[in-house]
Amino acid sequence: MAENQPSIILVEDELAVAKLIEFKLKRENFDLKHYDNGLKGLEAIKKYKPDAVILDVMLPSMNGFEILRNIRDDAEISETKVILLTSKNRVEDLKMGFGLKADEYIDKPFQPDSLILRLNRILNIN
Amino acid sequence: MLMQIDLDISLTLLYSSMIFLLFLLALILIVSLYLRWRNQVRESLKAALLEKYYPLIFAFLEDELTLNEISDQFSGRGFEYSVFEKLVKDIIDEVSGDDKQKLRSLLFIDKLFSYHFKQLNGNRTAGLLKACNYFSYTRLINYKVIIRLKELISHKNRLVAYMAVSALMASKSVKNKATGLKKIVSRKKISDMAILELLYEFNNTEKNEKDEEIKHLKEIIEDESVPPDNKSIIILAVEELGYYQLQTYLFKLLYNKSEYWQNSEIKGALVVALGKFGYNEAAPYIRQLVMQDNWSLFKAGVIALSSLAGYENLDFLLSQLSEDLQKNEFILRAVLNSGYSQEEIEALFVEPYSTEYSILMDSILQKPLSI
Repeated sequence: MAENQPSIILVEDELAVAKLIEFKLKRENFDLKHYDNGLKGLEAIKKYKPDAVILDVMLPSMNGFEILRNIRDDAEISETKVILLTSKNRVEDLKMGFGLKADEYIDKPFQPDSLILRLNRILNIN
Repeated sequence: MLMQIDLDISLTLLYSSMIFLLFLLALILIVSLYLRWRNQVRESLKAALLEKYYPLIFAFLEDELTLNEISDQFSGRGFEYSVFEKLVKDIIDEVSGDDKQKLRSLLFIDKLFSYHFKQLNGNRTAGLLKACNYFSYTRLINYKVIIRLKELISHKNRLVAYMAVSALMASKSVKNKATGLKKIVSRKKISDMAILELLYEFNNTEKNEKDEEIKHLKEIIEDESVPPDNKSIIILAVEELGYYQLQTYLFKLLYNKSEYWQNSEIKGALVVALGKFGYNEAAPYIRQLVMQDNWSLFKAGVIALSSLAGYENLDFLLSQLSEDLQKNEFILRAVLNSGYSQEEIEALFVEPYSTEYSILMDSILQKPLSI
């Protein structure tokens, strides 16, 4: 990952969402890598050890909760900040996310700017 | 000699058939290769267009591009518009707040409107469907669009007709919406779901337009050219959508002696709607209906009385328990579904079959199905 830029891994299979987040984050000078598959996303998180991860819940091959559980169980990456992208009104998603200690939640549909704000907050960026 | 000629003819026929089959095979191969190639070209063109449009749309969201600047990017090919429109809609689905509104304005680009207006006035089914969908989504319904949509309601393709009405529902005028609804429900083989969906959209008007809405609904309900299966769905939907102002009106229709209104499907729907409305004045009439030898009216009456509830209706329904197992099961299922407890119902059982009824009720409770 590039130096001085907060490194982010986005695991999202919806291309439109991924492109939008990518556009926003790159403008804010985040170093972003995108994966559209849960398993590949987890491998990348373990390999690159990013500052934060943005995880969609519904993903092919491995869902967002499983990835989050793997992150929290792995001593090397357990402190990684995680933002979960959850579907609106899915209380069970929220409960599950809380249980697995996600750092933030973003309801879909979402406001791209609020994602930046939350990312800055969990990464202590002014 | 003769045998030799037969053999020659057979061989000629065999060779001809083989050549024909080979030709056919080659043709199929060429066509499938062509289709595959065309598909690949379209996919790569689509990918290239997506790569072009994503940054444009996002730049527009950031106020770095204007609508005109985006509009200038189109060369006028239909495929471009389709890809762009789908992409904008996909992003709209994922964002909220001001961004959503801003993205919607991208669909109002003149070129896009003109393209769909042209499609709407064409004959291609796919173009018509896409155009109806566009006008329904954007609500850009001017009088020229309305005129064409009204024509399309009579289109031989039922999906086009349905989509045209659906687009008309985006019009601000209750009258236009009602015109569409009236025409489509008069057609045969329109699915229940399609009618329900359109009625839901019809219902979605301002409060001060309710009177006009009800006036048109009455006209639709009174129209005897509407097939009975469509009519029954409309009547049930009237209750579902909460048009309580129509209760007395619906009740009066029960007394219409014409063959149309005596149709079991329509009469059953009227009875169920009144029951679910809680229109108690209809209870004596419905009780009479339950006692008639007509299975569909019996079912409608039982559903209505169990919805009306009250011990008088419950008592009446339980008095209808007999040796007919099918009817018994229907009655007990209905009263159980209407919220009475097993004990309350059992207390009203009378001999000689009380035990049998209790056993039946136990089995119903073990496999609850909605009626």
